[in-house]
Amino acid sequence: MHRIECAEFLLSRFTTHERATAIAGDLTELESTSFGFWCAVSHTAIALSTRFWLGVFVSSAAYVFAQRVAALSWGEGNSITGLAGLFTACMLLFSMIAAYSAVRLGLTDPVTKSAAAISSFSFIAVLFRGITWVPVASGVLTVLFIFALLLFAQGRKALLSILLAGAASFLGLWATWQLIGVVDPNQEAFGNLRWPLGLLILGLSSAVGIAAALPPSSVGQANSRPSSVE
Amino acid sequence: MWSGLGEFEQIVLLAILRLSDEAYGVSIRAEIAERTGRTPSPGALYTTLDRMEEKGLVVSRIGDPTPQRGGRAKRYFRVTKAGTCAVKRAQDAYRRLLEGFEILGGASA
Repeated sequence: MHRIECAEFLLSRFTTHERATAIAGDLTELESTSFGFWCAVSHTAIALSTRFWLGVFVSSAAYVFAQRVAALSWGEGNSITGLAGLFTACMLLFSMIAAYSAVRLGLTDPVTKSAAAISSFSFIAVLFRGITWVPVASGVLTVLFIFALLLFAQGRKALLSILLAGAASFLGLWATWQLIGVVDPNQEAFGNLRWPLGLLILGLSSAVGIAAALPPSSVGQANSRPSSVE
Repeated sequence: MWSGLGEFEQIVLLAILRLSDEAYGVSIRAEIAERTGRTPSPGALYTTLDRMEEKGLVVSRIGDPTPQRGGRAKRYFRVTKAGTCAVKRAQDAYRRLLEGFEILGGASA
């Protein structure tokens, strides 16, 4: 029985728990030998993980893009602190979550829509930082939007998923940053983490964090497809 | 009109239609192997089923757990009205393309 549970755990990284359970059962029925079973499980996991890896790649690309926008806006190498830093961090983080969620969960998923909305407010604040009222309005809109999300069950679930993904992303970023500090203390190889190598590594580690934290089944799917679990 | 269905999607939909209430992963794979002579890999089959469910061409329901499957339930599939229409459109397109040819042993118009 142990191998079915292991297979179930592996498959549930890339699909919903119900589907993973059914697939593990099917493969048990289909393959009598351990070797055949694990070959089938591996093949299925690889086939199911396509979107996972595509999501990680697109999310990393979003990170690189947002970093370049921030660098163009604030100037290379400048440390961004205070409210400006908060907006920049939100822009980076939420654009990554939105990008990953769009690929993995779909464009209409509440997680995608919520992360994209918050990310857009931050993008506008960073891009038009010279006009004082724009960042202020963006900040107010972000707070109001979060309050609006809290009023609905789906919104609360989406917000929770986004917070978890954000925390995991930050953890991935922080761990990689520490590792870079050990491997390359003077940041020679990474060139102050400028385009392309350093940014890509940080983007990937952050995106893997998001991918690990966001569930394969979306908030929207769980509510709109009762027929899947009768 | 283009049905938007790939060849493998059509095969899977037809296998589900043939199996009726008994269509789940293992039986669909066996039906395809028996009828076409090609055994699809489990990975290809499950990703196709997931994709078709997202497109609304099939729906699934979870059955009762069975001991020979380690207590795991079967996931039964059913073709939706949209799925049936998509298969019909694809078959109509094939039929129209075949009109006037003798490659099916005189089954032409």
